[in-house]
Amino acid sequence: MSATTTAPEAVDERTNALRKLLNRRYRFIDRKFDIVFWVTAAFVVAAAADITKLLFAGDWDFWTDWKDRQWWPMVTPFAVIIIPSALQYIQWLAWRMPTGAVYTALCMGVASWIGRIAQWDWFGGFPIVFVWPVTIIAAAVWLDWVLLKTKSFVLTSLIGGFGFALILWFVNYVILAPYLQPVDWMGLPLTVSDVQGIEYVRGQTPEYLRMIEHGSLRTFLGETQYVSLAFGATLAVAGYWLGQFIGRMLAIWPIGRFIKRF
Amino acid sequence: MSTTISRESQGVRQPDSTSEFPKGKGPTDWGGGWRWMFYSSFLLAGSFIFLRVYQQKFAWYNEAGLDSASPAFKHYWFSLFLIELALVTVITLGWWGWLLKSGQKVAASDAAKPISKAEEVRRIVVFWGLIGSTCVVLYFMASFFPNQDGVWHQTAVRDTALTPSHIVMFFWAFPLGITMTVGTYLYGRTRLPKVYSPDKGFPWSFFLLIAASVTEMMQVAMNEWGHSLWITEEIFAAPFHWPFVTYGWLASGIFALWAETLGRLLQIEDEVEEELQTPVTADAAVA
Amino acid sequence: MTRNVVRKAAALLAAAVLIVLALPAAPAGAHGETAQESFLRMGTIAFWDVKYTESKVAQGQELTISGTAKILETWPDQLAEPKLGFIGVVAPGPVVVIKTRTINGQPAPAAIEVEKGGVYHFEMTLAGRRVGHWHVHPIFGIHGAGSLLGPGQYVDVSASPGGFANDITLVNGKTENLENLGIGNLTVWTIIWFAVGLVWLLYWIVPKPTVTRLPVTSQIPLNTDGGAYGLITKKDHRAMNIVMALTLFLVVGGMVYQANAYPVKMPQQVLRFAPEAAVMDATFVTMDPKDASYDVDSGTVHLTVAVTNTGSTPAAVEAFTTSTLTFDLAETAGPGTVQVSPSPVIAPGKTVTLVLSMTDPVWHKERLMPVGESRMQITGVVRTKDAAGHENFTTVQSFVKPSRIA
Repeated sequence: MSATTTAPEAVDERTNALRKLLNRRYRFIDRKFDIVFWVTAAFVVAAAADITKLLFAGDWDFWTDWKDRQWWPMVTPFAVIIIPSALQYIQWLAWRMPTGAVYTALCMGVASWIGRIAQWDWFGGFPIVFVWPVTIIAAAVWLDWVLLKTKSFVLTSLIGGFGFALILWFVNYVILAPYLQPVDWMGLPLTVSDVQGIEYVRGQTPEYLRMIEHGSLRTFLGETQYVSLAFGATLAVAGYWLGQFIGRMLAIWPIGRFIKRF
Repeated sequence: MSTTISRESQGVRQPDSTSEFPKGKGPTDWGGGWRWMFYSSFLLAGSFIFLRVYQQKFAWYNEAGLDSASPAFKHYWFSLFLIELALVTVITLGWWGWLLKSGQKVAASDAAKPISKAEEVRRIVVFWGLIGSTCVVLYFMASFFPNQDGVWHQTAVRDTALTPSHIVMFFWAFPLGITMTVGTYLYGRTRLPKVYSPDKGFPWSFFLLIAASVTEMMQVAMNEWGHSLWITEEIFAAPFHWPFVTYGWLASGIFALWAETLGRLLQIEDEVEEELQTPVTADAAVA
Repeated sequence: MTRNVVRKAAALLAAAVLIVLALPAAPAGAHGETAQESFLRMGTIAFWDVKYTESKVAQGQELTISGTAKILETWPDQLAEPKLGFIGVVAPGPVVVIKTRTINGQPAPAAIEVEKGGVYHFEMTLAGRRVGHWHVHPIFGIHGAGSLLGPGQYVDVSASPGGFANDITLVNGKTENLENLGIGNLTVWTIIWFAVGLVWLLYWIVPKPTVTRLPVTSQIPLNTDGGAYGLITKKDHRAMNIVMALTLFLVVGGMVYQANAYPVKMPQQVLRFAPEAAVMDATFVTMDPKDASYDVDSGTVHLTVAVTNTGSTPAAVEAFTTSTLTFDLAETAGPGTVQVSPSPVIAPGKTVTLVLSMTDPVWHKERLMPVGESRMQITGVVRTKDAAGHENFTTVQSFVKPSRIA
């Protein structure tokens, strides 16, 4: 056999070996391990994603009268991209599945809705139309799709992160729209969401706690939301790398590593 | 002269026989190795649901949860607080103690007679079940009850650290987080020596996961101190609350547990494969 | 064995709680105000003339809470200066809804700009929402300091046929129920996005095994998709492109939809203002507090005040109010009353030293006499009236000497 033909054969051999390995039948490992992994991991992923959203951007997420165009588009993408980014790294590295962001979005979505209905509605008594949570699924689809196409976390952080923040805003703005309709309240023009805030008694949330656009000297010709979105997108990129740190250093790095001395 | 004898006639080199376990209760059967996952998850989730129903009845409606100076509060909430602490202590020490004690017996038995591959797989499956139950506790700790805490504190005047939502979240769910993370480690340490035996050192995966549950508990103290001292307003996204998030991120170590045991599972599968392919040398007398 | 231990623990838990539940307990009466330090409750905001027009309403039926709150001149130095405030209601959740609110006669949708010494007449119309027996308080929040509760009262909300509907008329003339406004839009989009996400996820995790991919992925570089080995195929790419395109179509479609369905929108409004000063009667008394004492055993506070009547007609002390409490003038001692010696009446132009005595277990019960604490002080408002019916509300503050510390 001539030497020039050994290299392509070697590649073919490796390719065939890996293909075979992918389809290998195991004695003990079966689909039950997959089911258990995806179902039980959903609880911890939901937990991590929800607590991050709640304590970084929770108040904006709780109330319609906090979902403004200055702060909400800025804090929310940052808060909700962190855990999807970490899961993207883990699920791409381990399984080559572009599912980390959508998986997190679904888990967090279910957890958020259970929380709002079981606690804010049934326990607290607030109507769900006042306390609905954001949905990040569409933004997560974009993030996972960019990873699938680019196979690069750097590009995903930039293109994916920017798109994530924008899609997040547009999707949730559609849901918010009815609550931005004007109402006459005691002769003053308010939005439906402002009236919800006035009417539904929140004993420990006085209105001055609301961190929303107060009107500014410079409203950029009414483009406040786009300026906030652009900044929010930048913060989303930063949040993406925070998530990468979590995935790489806290989830993957410890594998097989032991502390010898205390 | 040696003769290769077929697997089927030889019998000895068959893959591990499932006759070691009753039918349907094999290492990877739902009713077998996996059943521990169902028992523990349902029991834990059941306790949280029970307490949630209790809160629905006794937090607002008879006002017991609204005034910590009232007899009703002492009756329905302070008592629950004490019962929870007592129970969680008993359950935790009891379970950990049992794991260690029985673990010694397991180690002795393993040394005397090495366990079969099927048994090792069963133990990994039980371990995955424990990880799953830990995940369930983390969900109630970090999502289900924090949502409730938000609605409680943005509505009712804070007059005690022992609010109805805190009593269940901080003093039942959070301690159970420690119970499960440490308990899962003790199981791994005593039943999965090839992965977590003490002579390898302390696994970083568990260090991070256990640290998450312990630091979360410690953060409760800091949280209440802050609320009593300065923080009279109830913004949920206050920087003061952020350590709850950052400590929670340490629980990412849980993924490493799946990876480490999956690695061992794959090793076991390779050993099985090797055994199946190794030819048997017949007795010289046969030849 | 573990199963037995676990079962026993579960049984124990259930039994313990059932035993606790079987025993009755007295209902609660206060709502957290006892936890506030007395100097905070007394020295910050005083409430008077707090009235509830109804104590029993049906769902949807209205009641009005009115009263006056004053940010006292004695505002504690360790709290942030009062600049922004909010007058609302505290209740066990939105069991009532606030329909209107005026402060010093002006509609007040949001927070107000306030100052030390400011007097604020408030009027809030509430409607019953959730059936039950609810304790409701007016509440005055000051940014940076927290919220102070005014006098509370029980409000019973009974069921209405058809339950609670909260109709609101939009500027475009449409009437909607605030309880479920926008629920259709919310539900449809939530379901659509869950469906899209599930399609994406299940495409990967149902037909393809997961954990068994690890032996292959661990052998290829991170930034490759393993297409050659069957990890991610061209078909997978095509399928995901379709889902992505559908997602973008829905995003754009959604924006077009909302622009048509809700053409007139505006951002949330933050309408804060400084209320016009309350109209108060001209001053006709001045007060100079001398000292105060608290008799621990009888639960009596004695407040000595030098009162000067600078008016032209006799003036009389009517009441003393502090925090959520009002002590009305009465001949004989009893809870909720104040006795003034030698006489509550001050002749015009005269200065008299009066002793205001209030015997009430509330001083001890609500921790308002902070015996042994780091700041033993009483602050409140003395209400006086002259012959022409004018009223003065004068802040007095004095350190308190308890009869015993322990």
